[in-house]
Amino acid sequence: MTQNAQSHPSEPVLRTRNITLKFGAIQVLSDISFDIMPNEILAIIGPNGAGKTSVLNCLSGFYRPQQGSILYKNKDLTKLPSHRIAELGVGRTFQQIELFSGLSALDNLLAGRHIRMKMGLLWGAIYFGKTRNEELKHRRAVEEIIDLLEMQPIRHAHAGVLPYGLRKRVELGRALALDPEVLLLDESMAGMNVEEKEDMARYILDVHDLKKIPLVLIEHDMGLVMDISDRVIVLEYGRKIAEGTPDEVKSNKKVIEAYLGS
Amino acid sequence: MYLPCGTFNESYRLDSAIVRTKAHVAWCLAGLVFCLLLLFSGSTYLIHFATLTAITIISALGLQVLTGYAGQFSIAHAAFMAVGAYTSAILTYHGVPLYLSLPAAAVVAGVVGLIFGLPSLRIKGFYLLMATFAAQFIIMYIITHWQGLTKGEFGHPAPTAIQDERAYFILVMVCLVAFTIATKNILRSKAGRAFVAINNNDLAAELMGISLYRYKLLAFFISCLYAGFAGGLYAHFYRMVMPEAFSLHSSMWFLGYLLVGGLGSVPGTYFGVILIMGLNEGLTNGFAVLINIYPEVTRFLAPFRQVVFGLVVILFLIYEPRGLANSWEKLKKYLHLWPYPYWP
Ligand SMILES: Nc1ncnc2c1ncn2[C@@H]1O[C@H](COP(=O)(O)OP(=O)(O)OP(=O)(O)O)[C@@H](O)[C@H]1O
Ligand SMILES: [Mg+2]
Repeated sequence: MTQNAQSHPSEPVLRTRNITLKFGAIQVLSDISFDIMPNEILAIIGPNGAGKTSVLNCLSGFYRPQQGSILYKNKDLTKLPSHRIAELGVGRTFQQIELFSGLSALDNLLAGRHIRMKMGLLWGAIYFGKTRNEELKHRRAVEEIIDLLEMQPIRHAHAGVLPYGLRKRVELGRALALDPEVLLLDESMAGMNVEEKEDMARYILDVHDLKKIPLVLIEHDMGLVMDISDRVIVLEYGRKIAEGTPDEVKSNKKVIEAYLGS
Repeated sequence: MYLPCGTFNESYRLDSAIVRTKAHVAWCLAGLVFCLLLLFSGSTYLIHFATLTAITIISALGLQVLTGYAGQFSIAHAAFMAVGAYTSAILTYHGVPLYLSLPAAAVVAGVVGLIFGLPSLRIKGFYLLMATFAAQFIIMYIITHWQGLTKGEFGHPAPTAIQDERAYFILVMVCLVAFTIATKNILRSKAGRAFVAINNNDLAAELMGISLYRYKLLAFFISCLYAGFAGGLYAHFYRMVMPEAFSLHSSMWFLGYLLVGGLGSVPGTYFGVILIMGLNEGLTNGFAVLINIYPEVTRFLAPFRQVVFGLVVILFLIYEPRGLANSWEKLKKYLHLWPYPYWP
């Protein structure tokens, strides 16, 4: 995992520098800089349309910022295609769930292991010896995630027909299947009732304890954010207006204004 | 997931096995017995028909990988078959043995497929269908006009050392089994999972680390590999290749087999090809008999054969859009509860 980072605990895992993103005349992000530290839970908060999802989209290569750089493992992510960024160990979930809805939950997770699979096509077509062992190895890895997220009953259910909360969970599982070294979670708990939210928060904390990787989460529920995160970044109109521990952010004037004003 | 009574998943290995239930074993045995019966029946007509059907299934399995698994449409499948057919015919004509010419046919068709698969990186769905439409015409234009190589419209001889049709039938059946197993295996491999992921949600697939570029082209390559191999088998079956055997019409029928059989399903591919080819053969024979009895009426009705086919596909699209494979699943569920829920 992040051995490199663990040997220098103060070194950021990922550095975002002066990101500016425009769509035509719309300025979506202005001069955003922040670091992701090893093994932290970093929350990004802000009113609707502040640009939170856009930040994650820049990190995963789905949006291309006009200026700025995102340094991770000595590479600038703004210049890499999305699938290469995933290969470097950046996993994510989506605000609008993006599952492989025609596949079972299990197959969604197995598809998530893509970058960890090695056997080429020819071996795959033969499915014998090495290939079978590889498939079984990945199956075992995926079953561990299924146990962790308590998805046993829905293992073979079609992902597309599952209720909302469970689809969110399958999506988290699929991101975990990638064995991510940084995990980006876009509103994992939005649209859930209190009980479901608490479950999801518990899963996220379990994942964090087990994997010891930095988590970046976008969340609207302030109570929850302040409870589980180590550090908080506040965005408003595409600008970073505050950054710090939950307590620092809570007492920040600009933040209070942004939230009361919106 | 539906499993019959008495079948237990005791390990991950069992859960991901292909031949899983007693019924699967029974189907394999039934297939074997059927082939043996055909061989001992000594009916050249039946053996011919079965060989042709099996070759068509191999080719259709290839399109299944491209369209059923990876979700990329192609209406040039017969043209890719033609590339394989001509490659193998020309090679054997110059003395290359069949066991080398067939793999060569597959690879050459695969590479041609790779080239014509390039538009898939830019366009999807209906637009891709139109782009492959162009591939069909370009390939067939080259084949009919490059007379120095292909001997043009008069056809190119495709000699083979296997003269006995029963021996050829066995060869084709062995190939069919191999390609069927490969198609099933691909689905649980890295590439197969990538194909299905792209088909389901290309955005998510890319953000899970799947290179769309690489896997779309790979799907075209594999699909045309099957087509090329089947094309080679087809050429040596008739010992002659003619361009008109690989028309746009037959390319469309390959999509028809998948639609009727069920996209993405290997048994569905079998169902689709057997149903449509069987229907065609039945209608042809029926008309041949009728024309002696009611020549006038039959001559009037003859053009309606095409109408019958069109109707079959339309009815499937309306009533069973997921194909015969889905009807089969429903039938299994029904039989599972009939007449008692627990049947050995
Ligand atoms: N592809 C795009 N094209 C044009 N404008 C965009 C695009 N993506 C985002 N935007 C704009 O950028 C702004 C920020 O959007 P973003 O989705 O990042 O907000 P958010 O903070 O995630 O909001 P929410 O809390 O509603 O999810 C919005 O005004 C949105 O309209
Ligand atoms: Mg958002």
